[in-house]
Amino acid sequence: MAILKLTSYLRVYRKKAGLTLREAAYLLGISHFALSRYETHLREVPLPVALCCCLLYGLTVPQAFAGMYDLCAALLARRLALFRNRLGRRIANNGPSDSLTQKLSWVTARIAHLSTATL
Amino acid sequence: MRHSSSTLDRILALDLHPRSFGYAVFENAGLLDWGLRKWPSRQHKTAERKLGRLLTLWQPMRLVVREGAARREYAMVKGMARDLKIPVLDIRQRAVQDAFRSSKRPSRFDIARAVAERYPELALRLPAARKLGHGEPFQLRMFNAAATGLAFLSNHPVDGRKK
Repeated sequence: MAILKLTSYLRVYRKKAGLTLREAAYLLGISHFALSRYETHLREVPLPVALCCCLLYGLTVPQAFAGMYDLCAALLARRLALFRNRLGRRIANNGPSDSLTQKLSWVTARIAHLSTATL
Repeated sequence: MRHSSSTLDRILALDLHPRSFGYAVFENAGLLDWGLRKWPSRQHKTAERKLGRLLTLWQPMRLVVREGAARREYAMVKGMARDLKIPVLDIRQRAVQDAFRSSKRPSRFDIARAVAERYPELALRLPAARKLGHGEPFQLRMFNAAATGLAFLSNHPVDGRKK
């Protein structure tokens, strides 16, 4: 049975760094109540706090927010696939043009990139 | 730490005692979380709430409980796991000792030291060796839980995990 990655791993990396909740909250410039809610997935992490967390613990976004990253990648891959189909239909109806062909190859490359990035 | 969803296996290891438990959460071979929880006597609602929070937060695939757990606490864990459809596995003390055996039979302190060597982030919380006539340090429960989890992992390898 495959299980999903957690939305974020902020608590894991804070504890690995040996920081208490209050210490990490002080460094991030937020209250420890707020940090606790972000770490326990009760509230979504605002972008500035997310970036500060990555900088503080020395992480990349896919490391710190593995589950969220995968979810976004899956949603984006689906939208890109739909967009590729739409472009394909447009090319079939109106004939190929430089801009449409270029867009189609770009979308195809993005889909391939996303499928390898989330493996 | 790399999180690969294809071989992801998250477990919550528990060392249950009356009025307290030590816990360790593993994702494959990586240690995610560790700690201790305690509650006043006869307040099982509090205990359930504390364990429930851990289950909600970490969404483990299975619970691993060290053999010799207090009966009432064990029943509580079993009940909660049944509700959430999480399998519970008992790990015998012998299996934990075998996982850390070198030449002689290791004591709980030897095992705790071995766990701290493997996961340096736990070293800060390693208690000093017990003196004659002194009780077992409370923090040792956390190391017992981590050792239970490691004993389980050594017998149930997942792809990409060191045995």
